[in-house]
Amino acid sequence: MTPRKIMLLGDIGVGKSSIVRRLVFDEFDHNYKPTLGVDVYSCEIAPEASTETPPAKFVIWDTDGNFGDSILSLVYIREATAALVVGDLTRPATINTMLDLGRNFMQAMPGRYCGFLLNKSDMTGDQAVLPPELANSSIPAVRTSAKTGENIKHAFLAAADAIRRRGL
Amino acid sequence: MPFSQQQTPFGVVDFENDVESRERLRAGEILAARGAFAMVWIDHALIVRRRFGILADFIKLDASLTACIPAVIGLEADIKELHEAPDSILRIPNVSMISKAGIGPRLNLAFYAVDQFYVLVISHASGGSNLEIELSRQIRARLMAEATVAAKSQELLLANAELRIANAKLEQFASIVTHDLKAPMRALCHMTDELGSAVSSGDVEKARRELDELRHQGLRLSSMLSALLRYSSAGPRELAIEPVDTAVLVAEIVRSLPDRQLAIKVRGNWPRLETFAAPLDLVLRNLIDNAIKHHDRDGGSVIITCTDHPSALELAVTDDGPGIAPEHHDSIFLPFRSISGTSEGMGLAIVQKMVAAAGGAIHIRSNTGQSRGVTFVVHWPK
Repeated sequence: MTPRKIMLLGDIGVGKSSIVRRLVFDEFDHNYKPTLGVDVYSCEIAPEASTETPPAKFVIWDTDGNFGDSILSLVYIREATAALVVGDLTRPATINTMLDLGRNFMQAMPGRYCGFLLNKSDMTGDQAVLPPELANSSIPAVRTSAKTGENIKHAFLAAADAIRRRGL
Repeated sequence: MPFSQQQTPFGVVDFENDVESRERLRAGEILAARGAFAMVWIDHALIVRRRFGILADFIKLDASLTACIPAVIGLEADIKELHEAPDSILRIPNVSMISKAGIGPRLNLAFYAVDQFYVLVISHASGGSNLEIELSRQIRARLMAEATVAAKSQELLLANAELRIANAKLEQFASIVTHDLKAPMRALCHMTDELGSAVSSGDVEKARRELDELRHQGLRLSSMLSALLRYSSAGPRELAIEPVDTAVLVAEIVRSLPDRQLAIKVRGNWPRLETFAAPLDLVLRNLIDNAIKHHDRDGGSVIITCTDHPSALELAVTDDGPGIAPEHHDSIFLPFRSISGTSEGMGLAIVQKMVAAAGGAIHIRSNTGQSRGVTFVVHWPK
């Protein structure tokens, strides 16, 4: 099976690299190290339960948060099958950026899968009030924590499932 | 072909006699050996056929391009289209490929169509050095850290300001409570004196009257303390965010009101939102109850309006009752302030406390052009 290309989008410092490193290496680094340009991760993820579904192969494009909306017009996003758009639960502005990026991705690449990751769910004391647009959005959202690993694998497997169902 | 002549991707070059080409080749070899660039020749089926330079060492000969370079997965058609437009270049700048096997260097990839091949030129994203990248990283990390510190300082300033306001409110509250609870206490003391003198003089009738009054003042004191308890417990602990259909909420409040002689009208745009559900219910219910309770005529009306602004709801409860004199518009929200004297005077104090705890504000507006009635306006943040 050819690996499927998934974009990891979102504002600076929301934890995109931490999410993909938790998925690929099962590790978390407390020191913030911004991504400049693009890091392309190759990985294979086995389903959570023992099923006949084969492992999902991914090429995950971890992008520089500075790209903003311009990422949608760059070569990096060509033929992506899905995007997971990340917001930081402790910074409301990044949730709004996440909503905009998700909406714009769906417009730029119709038919592809898109999911929201509300990251840093472990920081329970600092969480921002979520905007009502999030509840009304057709894009599914899940709370994640790269630090604890909460829902990280689940989010990528949900994307793999959607990609398979849509024949992408 | 003579030994001195070589087939290159750019045609046949006579290296023995062409000094310039020989020097160019030598310069290219030096740079490729130092890892400044590399070249890869790829056939029409996107299989790697030749490579040159240590930067391309990770690419296997006779393997598929996508297996060697995951970053080109999905771009196969774009690479093949280069033959349709021979002058065009497909660039994938600034990528680093990472897997469990290791972390690759940050590279610029550029694809060209040359004769029957595709040529991939690989170069370091920072011109052969990772210094610029590391510097940029550190600058960005510092900016992020500074932004975090600035945000925390701002939060601290805000917390200090809130603390000062809370202290001032506490002082005001203590002063009001002391003053208002003193009155029934004074009455109790006076009545026990009166009771004592009535008993001494054998005036049983007067003693009975004083005892009744004593019980009445005791009940009043107990009622005031209960109201005070309700006021002090109203606040942040009830602040749970839940999805609320405000149209359903207001309809439910109106439906639950007791039989009344007033017309209740609901107007405006009542949206669905995620907000502090219980406090919003309490605020609306209290304001509507208040408007009904203090109305002095049959056949009047109470109008409840919601205006949906981008960042807040503007909720207005308007009645055509006796109104509130402008000089009482501020003090009406203090504990134990009842204009009509028919209640403990804690309802509006609790309402204001809940609105403030939710981050909103409340004020009174006299009804424009009318001698009667009043409007309570609440700005409820979204």
